[in-house]
Amino acid sequence: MAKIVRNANFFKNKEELPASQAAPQAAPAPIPAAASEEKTELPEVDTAPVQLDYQMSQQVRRAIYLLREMGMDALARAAEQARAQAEKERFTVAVAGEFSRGKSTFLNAFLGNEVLPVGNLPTTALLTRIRYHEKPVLVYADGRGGKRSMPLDEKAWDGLIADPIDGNGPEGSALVGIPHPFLEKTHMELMDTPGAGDLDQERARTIGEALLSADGAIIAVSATAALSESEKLFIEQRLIARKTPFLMLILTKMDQIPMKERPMVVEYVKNKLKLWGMDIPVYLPYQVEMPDDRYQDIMGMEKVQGQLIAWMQHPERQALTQEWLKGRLSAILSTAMDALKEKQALLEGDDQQRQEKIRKKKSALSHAGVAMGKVEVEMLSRCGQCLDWIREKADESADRIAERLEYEAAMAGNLQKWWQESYPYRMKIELTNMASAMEQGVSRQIAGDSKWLNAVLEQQVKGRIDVAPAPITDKEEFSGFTARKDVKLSNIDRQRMITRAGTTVLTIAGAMLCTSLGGFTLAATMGIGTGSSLISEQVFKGRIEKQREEIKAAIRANVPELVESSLSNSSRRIKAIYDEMIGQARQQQQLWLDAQHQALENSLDPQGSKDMQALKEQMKSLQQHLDALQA
Amino acid sequence: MSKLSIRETVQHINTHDFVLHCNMPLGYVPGLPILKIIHDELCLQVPFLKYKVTGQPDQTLVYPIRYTVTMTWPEKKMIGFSNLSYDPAFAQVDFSKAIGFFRHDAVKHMKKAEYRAMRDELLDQYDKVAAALLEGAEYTQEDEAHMRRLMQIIMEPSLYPLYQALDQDFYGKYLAE
Amino acid sequence: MYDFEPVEFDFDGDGIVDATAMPLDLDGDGYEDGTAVALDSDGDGVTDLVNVDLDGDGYTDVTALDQEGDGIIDMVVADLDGDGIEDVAAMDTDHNGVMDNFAAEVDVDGDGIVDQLVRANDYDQDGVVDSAHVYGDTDGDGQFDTASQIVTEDGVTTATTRYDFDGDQQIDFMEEEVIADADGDGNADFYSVQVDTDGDQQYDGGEAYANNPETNSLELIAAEGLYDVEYEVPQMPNFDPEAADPEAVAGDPASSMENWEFQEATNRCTLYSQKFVIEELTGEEVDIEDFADTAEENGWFTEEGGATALNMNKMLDYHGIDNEMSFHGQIDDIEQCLNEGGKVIVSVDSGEIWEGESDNAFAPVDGADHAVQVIGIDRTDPENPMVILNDSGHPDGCGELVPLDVFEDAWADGDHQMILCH
Repeated sequence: MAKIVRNANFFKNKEELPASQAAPQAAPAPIPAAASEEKTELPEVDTAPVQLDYQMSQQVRRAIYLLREMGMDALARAAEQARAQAEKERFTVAVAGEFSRGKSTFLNAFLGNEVLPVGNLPTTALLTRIRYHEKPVLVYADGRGGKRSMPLDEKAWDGLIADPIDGNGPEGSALVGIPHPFLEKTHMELMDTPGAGDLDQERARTIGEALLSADGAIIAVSATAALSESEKLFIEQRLIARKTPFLMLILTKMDQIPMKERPMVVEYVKNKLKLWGMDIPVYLPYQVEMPDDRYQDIMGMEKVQGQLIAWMQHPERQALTQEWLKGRLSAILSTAMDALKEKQALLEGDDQQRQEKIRKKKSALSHAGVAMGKVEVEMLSRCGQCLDWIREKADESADRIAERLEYEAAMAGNLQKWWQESYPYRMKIELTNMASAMEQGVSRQIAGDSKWLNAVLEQQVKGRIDVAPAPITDKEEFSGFTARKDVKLSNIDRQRMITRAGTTVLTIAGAMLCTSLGGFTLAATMGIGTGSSLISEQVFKGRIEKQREEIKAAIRANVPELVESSLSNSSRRIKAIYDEMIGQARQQQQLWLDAQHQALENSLDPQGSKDMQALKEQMKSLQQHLDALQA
Repeated sequence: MSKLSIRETVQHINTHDFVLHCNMPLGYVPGLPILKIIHDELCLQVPFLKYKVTGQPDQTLVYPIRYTVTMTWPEKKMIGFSNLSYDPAFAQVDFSKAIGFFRHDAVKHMKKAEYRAMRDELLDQYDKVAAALLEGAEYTQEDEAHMRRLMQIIMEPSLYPLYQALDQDFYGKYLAE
Repeated sequence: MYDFEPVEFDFDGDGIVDATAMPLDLDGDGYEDGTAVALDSDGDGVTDLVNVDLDGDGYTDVTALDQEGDGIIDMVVADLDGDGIEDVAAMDTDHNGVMDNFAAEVDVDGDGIVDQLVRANDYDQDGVVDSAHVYGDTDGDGQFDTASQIVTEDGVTTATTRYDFDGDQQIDFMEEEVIADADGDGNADFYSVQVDTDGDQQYDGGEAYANNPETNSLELIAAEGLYDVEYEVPQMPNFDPEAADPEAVAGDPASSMENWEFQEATNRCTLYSQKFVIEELTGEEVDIEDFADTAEENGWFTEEGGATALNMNKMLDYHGIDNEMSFHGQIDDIEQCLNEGGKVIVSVDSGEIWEGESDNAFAPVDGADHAVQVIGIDRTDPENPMVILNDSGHPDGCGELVPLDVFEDAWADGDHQMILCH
């Protein structure tokens, strides 16, 4: 008998061999892929909040102090917010995606009805955060500083529920506290993010920001219309922006798929993700019957919980948070630097020159606002064009769909059966297909428009920089070997743009897009038993000819209605996206303008060379900070 | 079958019946063997190369590895002989030309006895690895680091690419930076 | 979907358009892919800069500048990998409309680390780069370890590359390649490469190739080996029958010596050893060429590799010589065989035979690479017994004298292989 080695991979890996000292280092605790079957048994978790390392902490503190010293309060505030966000204790998971059915259903299932005193968490207009609390409680913050807390029951929700059609509802946010053991153990916070299309622009923006600040996101995707281009965009933007490195996909509404087809849906989703090069786990949160055991390890709520815990314990969390914070701070400090440079320019020269410059500058700043307005007008115009396009396409689709269904009705043997069973199903498919086709076009258009926006914003400030390129020469004759890979080829000084709303906006846009256009499928699956309400039972007892006529008429009336209602939802959502993009750009712009104005103000009373000296010191300090961040 | 160590087996391999019948030209000697795991069994791949002493210190010619003999361990069942002149991966190698000099930098200061002693010590490490893999004997990070250190001193640098071509895992574990 | 219309901006309200933003549909699919913004960066009313954001990430990817405002682009820079650092630049330094200075950072293997930095110039503006510097990072550690200077003049391109593999700022390896296209037909007519392998800035070896007009391919015309050491065997003492005490000598070396021949620069040591024995025992002359042919035909020998340990006695068998091959022999066995009038062939380590033991000139592993005939053991001086060899590998190997202990060591390297013939 040949001797078998104890470790077949010995030569392949860098083995974790024991150290020869007395106390061997213990291997790190294995990450539990899934909790055991008993839901009450939760694994031990390390719930320590993300700690910024000491150096980073110091850097941030000093930067904020410097900003305050320079009188740039708005920027200091922004920096402080960024820091608070980075250091926040809770691990927040946003649940994004289809709303009203898929998401809420999931949340309710996750939390367990035995814990929620209300039947379901209703669809609200508010951003709802869910945390552990000994007794069920609802805290409502009205966004203006007022807070109200009440026990969590049906009554509490009254008045906090938005009418989905009309979009009016209370402002602010809701905090739900429930005695859930998982939340207790992990200190996690779940964030329910209702789709933007249900709200007006203001609310949409708040939601977007909240999404950005989440540590992880659970994206709910419906099995009946899995993975559209818009969802891809959403995932892509979040992953690329590294704002939410932890993503998982949950497949909802599997019960609406015939059993035999269920594996196909799962594989389809997995393959699509692979095709897009995205390494995101897919879970089936609910127990559904499957033809075989293949999916056991991704099925069930405890698997989702296990994944959440794995995220929390991920060793890279600190690193990623710090990267994000560095990015934010760099942007803020760049804005400050810009302002200082302006100040410097203004301080040079004699009094008269200065006054002239200041006058020019003031005028320029006010026109910056005008220019921004122009950008907004253009964006709104583009939004309009997008909506026009959708309408056009929808009308075409409605016609085609109606035609097709009429034809099928005409061919049907048993009309009543067709009307009651096939029609709803067919309608669902048709609307879903229409939605998919449109989504692609719309998301591309939105992406294109945001690119345009980015490019223009970038220029606005660049237009003020003296671009003075130096020729590339071989001055640094190569005698030694110290060329490092970061040798810059040109001497163009590139200030990284702060009005670059790009990545942020696109992320939100993507987020919105994901939640919004899912509405098409929502319409497709919602209440399609409308057939019976359109045609009375009596008809089916009458003559065949009469039946056919009635059905045709019903289709002709019904299809456009359904298409129209889907359309109105998505129109609203698309508008919200554009508003969101503009809003973000405006916000960044405002920060920049404020800083510039501040610089202007401060330079109005010069104290001669002393100021200049102080200014130079400040700039040097600032540059040091910037360099340290980029190191 | 006596319980020979890897060191002893390699040092006397030229008169092994199988190896003799492989009919490698006179002068080909065994280099540092490669340990590998095939089908969960530990195997030893012994490369053969030749040297030419020119009488000048540090100018002993090192020729490319040209043959390998593979056996299971500890059963020493011969499972392979390969003539690299016929291996397409080595098509660019001119086996008749030397590829380096010995003594290389790492051992330039060593006299013959010292060098041979260190080489023997290195070969002893192979037995340690075998014991760990086959009998679960203690084997620590220090042991592995020690073997790596010895390997990188003793192995002629000009042979690195050949070892890499022969077994990427072994190379990666002991020779790569 | 859209009509792409440019939009103009006057940022400072002075009535002069500062920037024009133009959507780009790069792939013609009707959708916007990128944006170009033309700027008047110095406010003189003339557009001098165009920034293009190709991928919509908010960063400009390509910038074209017209500093003179004369409508001629003098510089183009691009940040192709979006890391914020321009990696390709072209300049028209003399404003004649032709780009003459180039620089690029290239990530050859797409792993995100710049592998090569290229700076090139087209001095004579003929559209062909005349000189280039290429800096390479071959091991992906972010440090350049190779620097090449490539100069082309009059059809001859010389590329000198220096390597610093270990990053210690000392050049470890240097290579100079010369490619010449003498007749300007685009094909290289001459190529040479010289290498300095030990970092002493002296070329140690190289090869030169020239185009063979018949085959239209480069053929090696000269090569100076890198590891070719001119090896000269040292002088070895020879046996002098007159000086020995016949009683103390095993074997009949004087007689055996008559059959000795030099093998020249061949691998025929095993053949010659067997030939000596056959000629001595049969008294017949053997033609070495026939001998070699026979051995080769039977697969016992190749000119390229010689014979192997196992086949060292096959020609003896062929010629009907009674012989016994074995390993782990003892000197006594040899002595006894010689005393009985037998003949002995052994395999030995030639290095040790000729150079003896050396503390500083040795091989990592010893082995026997040579076959010799042992024709006697001379114990005339009991303190210094000598082994007498017919060594076909040494030009003066007739009755070669080797101290017994040296012989023993050399013989041990072949595991004491011996062929005893009668």
